[in-house]
Amino acid sequence: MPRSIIEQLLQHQTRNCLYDVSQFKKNRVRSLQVSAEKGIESSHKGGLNSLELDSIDHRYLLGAASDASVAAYDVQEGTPQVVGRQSQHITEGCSEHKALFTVDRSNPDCHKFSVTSAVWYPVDTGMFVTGSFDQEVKIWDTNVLAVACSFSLPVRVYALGMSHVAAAHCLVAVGGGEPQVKLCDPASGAFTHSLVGHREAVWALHWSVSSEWHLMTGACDGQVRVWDIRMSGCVHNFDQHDTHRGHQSGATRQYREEARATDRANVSRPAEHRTAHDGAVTAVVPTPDGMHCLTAGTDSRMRLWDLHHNSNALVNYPNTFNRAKKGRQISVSADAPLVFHPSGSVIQMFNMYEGDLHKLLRGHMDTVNACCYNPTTQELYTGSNDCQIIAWGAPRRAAEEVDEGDDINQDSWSD
Amino acid sequence: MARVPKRRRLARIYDDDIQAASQLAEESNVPEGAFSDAPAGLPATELPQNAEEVDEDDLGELPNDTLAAVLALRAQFPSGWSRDVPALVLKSQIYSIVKDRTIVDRQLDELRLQNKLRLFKLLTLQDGYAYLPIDDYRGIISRITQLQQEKGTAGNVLAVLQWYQQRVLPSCTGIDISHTDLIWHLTRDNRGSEACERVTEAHVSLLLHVGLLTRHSVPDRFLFAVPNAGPIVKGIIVGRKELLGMLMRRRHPEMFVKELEKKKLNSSPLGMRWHIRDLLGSGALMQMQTTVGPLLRVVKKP
Repeated sequence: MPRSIIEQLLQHQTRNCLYDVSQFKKNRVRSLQVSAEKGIESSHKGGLNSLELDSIDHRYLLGAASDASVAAYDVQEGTPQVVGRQSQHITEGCSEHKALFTVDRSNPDCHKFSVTSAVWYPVDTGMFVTGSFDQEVKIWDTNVLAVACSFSLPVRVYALGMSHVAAAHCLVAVGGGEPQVKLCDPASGAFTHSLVGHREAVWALHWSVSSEWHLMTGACDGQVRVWDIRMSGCVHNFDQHDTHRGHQSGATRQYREEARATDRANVSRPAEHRTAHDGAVTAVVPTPDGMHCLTAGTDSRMRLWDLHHNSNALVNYPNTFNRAKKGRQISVSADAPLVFHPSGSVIQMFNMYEGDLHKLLRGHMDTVNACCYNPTTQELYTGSNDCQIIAWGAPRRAAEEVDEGDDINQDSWSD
Repeated sequence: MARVPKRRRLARIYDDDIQAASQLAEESNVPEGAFSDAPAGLPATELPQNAEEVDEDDLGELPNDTLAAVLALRAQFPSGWSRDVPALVLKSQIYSIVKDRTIVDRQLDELRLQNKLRLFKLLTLQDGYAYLPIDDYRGIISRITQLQQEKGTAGNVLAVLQWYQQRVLPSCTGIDISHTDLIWHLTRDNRGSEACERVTEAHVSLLLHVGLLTRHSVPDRFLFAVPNAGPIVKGIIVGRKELLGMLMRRRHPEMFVKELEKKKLNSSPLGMRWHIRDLLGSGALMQMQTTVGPLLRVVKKP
């Protein structure tokens, strides 16, 4: 049917009218490469263990390294450069981001061994918490760079977390070399209680993004547990064989009932014998919308879990090799949706719900340990054992890609 | 089961040629009628990927991609074993045929819950999940029943094999089962109420002895198992090592597919092609196209 000229004009108009914002963000994330506009100059002399961006402005990046140093970088404003002097490794048009402060061995309160995790206080950046292999968790005042409070544990600290949605408490969850997860309270300066259930060291933990009372932990025995800190015992223990397929849309009701009935054996497996991974769990990260959670383990698998049904969503991410000896961060972008998984010295970008590899980010020279996604500017910051932090961003011209109209819509007046 | 003719184009095995696999499944359809009642329950969304080449009338009877791949692989299981060995299909082999692994995982899970395939976890293998079509498993059980009858075990003890097939298998599709659940299921009859026979420890020991159940590392739980799967597991471990060793010893750890297939594996009776498919799917080998033909290379792990 020949379209009227008015229709053609209207269609031409809407096509040239920009992509809507989500499509724009999606394109930016998918075209990540080493950022030509930002260069973060790492002041660490040891390999990076963790990176965290503050949750309020997504502006300050806190990095913890194995030489016991902790440093913060401003990722929005670069260090002002002295006129007439250009740093050799930064090209023109690129802003250099040096550390705003570094806590290293010259500071008397510094940790003695490698710092494994550093997190900001979720309310403001006036305080941050660090945990290290010297069996201490220290709470620092950012303005003075001195320790305000410190907790001593009987084991090394592998992971720390503070809840971003907490209103009633400001507990720090500490995962260490022992099976109990300890909760520390900076307000009172003491441990409140421990969560008992795991059998081996806890390498990864993360607070829930929807509830201030729920915490997810992953341990070396392969279990991933969800805890409600107000109750004793865990709320749920994820099982890799529990797939809850009876709830597929499009299936008949009879099929769903049959499926649930036949899967009774999986559902009834006792809690101690369920494992989320066949090896140690190295990362537990919920998605920003709180509906799913991703876990990675040393059995070289990454699994997506549906938090509504607490079951395995059965997405297969191929070739995620993992031979970590402590926790390793993975990062999730809600924009695309993509998940960033470090594997050796490259970072793999997978489509979160389909599992296919989108891209490999090559740039580091040694094992990548930490990655952190900035949702405001769609950038990724990664830190590795080669002591460098690389900022990955969309190339400059990506925003200006205009989809050239096809010739069918050219005006066909005769002159 | 129609024997697959030996002389086929080698490239087809490794290609994502689902139509070949589904044609094979259709050929096998006719003599066995393996799934005459099956696809009625399958939702219409599970069509083969090249749907435009499929005849409209056949839509209801075609198996989905993964089932076609499983049947094709089962047809290619090498014969000539000294004992009665089941034709297991490893999950990694299915990955080497159907490229999208998420779809394979989900379809395998649905097939398991619909009771068309049975999943076994092979102990001692690091990631060994093997699948067997349900009719094969039933055939194995009936053969065992015959053997036991010839050996002269008591009739009432032998009845447990029948109960196992009718009561336990359809409702327990997982890889393991606890002792209490096993007894509970064995004592139900078709209507769900308790039957008059009592299940004793002798029954459970017969199942263990025959090889249909094995003890789990966890106390009081049993793993579902296939009898005589031992030679397969041994063959897998030894064959993998030999094949990888053969490739790693060269200056560059790679070889053309045509050359590799001509070689023979001394240690494993499973055959070179079986192992190649297994290693391709599990990620240890990678296939590349070159101007001279496909090339297999050992993947260097970071």
